[in-house]
Amino acid sequence: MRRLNDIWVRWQRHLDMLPVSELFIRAIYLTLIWSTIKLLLIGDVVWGEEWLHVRYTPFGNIDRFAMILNEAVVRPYYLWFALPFLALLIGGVIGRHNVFTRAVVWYLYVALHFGNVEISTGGHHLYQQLLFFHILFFRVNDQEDGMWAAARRMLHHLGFYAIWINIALLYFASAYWKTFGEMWFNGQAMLMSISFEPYSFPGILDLLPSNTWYLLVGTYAVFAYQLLFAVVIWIKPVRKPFLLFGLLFHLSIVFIVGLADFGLFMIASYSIFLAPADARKLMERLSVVRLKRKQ
Amino acid sequence: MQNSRKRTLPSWLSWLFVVIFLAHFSAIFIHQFGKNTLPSLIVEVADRYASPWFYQNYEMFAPEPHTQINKFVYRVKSHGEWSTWKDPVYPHLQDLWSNRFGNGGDMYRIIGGIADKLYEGQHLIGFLEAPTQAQWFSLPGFLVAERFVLGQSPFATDPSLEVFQVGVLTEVHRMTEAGELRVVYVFQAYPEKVVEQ
Repeated sequence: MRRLNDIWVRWQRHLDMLPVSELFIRAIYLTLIWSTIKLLLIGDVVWGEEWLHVRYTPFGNIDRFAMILNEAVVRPYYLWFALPFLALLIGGVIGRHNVFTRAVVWYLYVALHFGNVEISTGGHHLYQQLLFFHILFFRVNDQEDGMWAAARRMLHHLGFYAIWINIALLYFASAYWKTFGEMWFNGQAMLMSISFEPYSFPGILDLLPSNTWYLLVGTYAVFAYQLLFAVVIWIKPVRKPFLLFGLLFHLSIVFIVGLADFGLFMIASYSIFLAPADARKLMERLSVVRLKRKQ
Repeated sequence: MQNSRKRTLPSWLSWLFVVIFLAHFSAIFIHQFGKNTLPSLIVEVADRYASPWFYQNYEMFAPEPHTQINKFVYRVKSHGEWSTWKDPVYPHLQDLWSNRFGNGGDMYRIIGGIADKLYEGQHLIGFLEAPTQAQWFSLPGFLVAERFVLGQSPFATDPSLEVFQVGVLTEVHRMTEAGELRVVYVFQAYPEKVVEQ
């Protein structure tokens, strides 16, 4: 019991993962800046008065604020949501963020995400959770002591591992529901997924009229990856090569399937799994680039 | 970066944080997986907690990948003549194929959403014995399709527009026993609607 308590106290005190959480914030904010800008170009349709989707407002009370951009009277003012969101993201990328800005980023993301369910993907749902937990990414330096610093350290660490668990949950849920189907077991799922032109390229049916060995292997590899993720991600020696497969898988979703938001959101989320030393090096490089530009 | 003399939270407070953390993930876990296994009251409480702020839908390409997609099409009658059936999503698909990082995919999915709602509408109307025009024209998918035709299509500003009609073209894929991919198209049209001038 005493040993367990020692581990628990050490875990609360350590600050190793701070560069990882800073890098994570920059990575997900960068993908959100890209996504928000491209959607702003068609903003009147996505969030504004030229909507082309069935608007959905099933909630009352405080929950109504999550779906607020589904209200016809609010939609003309969508820029009041999108522009502050963009500004806070840009601020976050250059390191200007605090618990208040992170909480506002989460709320604005929820409102914009639910403002048009048609463009939502699993990656959007995941980001909604990750942005909630990133509110807890308090910065605590090595010199700070006292109860307030201890609380911030504790909350940071819980938020950090909540993000790990939520990404693992995404893969586990995705794999679990696939076990109720047939095509993931008979190896036809990948062919079926990309056999529709909108989810690949024109003329795909002429190119792939039947299953091939590489699509069969791909189907099983993706299924296994999703099934194993929740366990393997905690095993340090195999984490890097395992995530490398995930990186390739999500790049194929970007370039072959054409779901760039989903693919890039997942890739950016992987930054939370970087080793602290790697994250520190990357963050130092980013600050060197910034310093050089300033000079 | 470590300092072993740093203060930590009182034990009761740190464990309180952990309990809140575990309660959150327990609710999310029940929300995701509990539907067919746990008592409905527990699932209802978890769903109420999760929706909308922590709502998560991870049934991606599950239990099967999609085996059909719907396409929204429409035609208009102007100066007494019907146009050909128009496919408003195709230009956006071309954008998507030429640039994976643009918003062609978003427009494809938004307009594709109209097609899905029109498809669902065909099912709903199928349960009525003799649906009236008013029932057809009050379906949510039809109302959005009408918004598009009269508000955003190239014919929206045509003063001689008399009638329009919308439809949904469904592309269904199946694997044969010989392992070949077969494609079947099903077209379902909605009644024509006269444009009120």
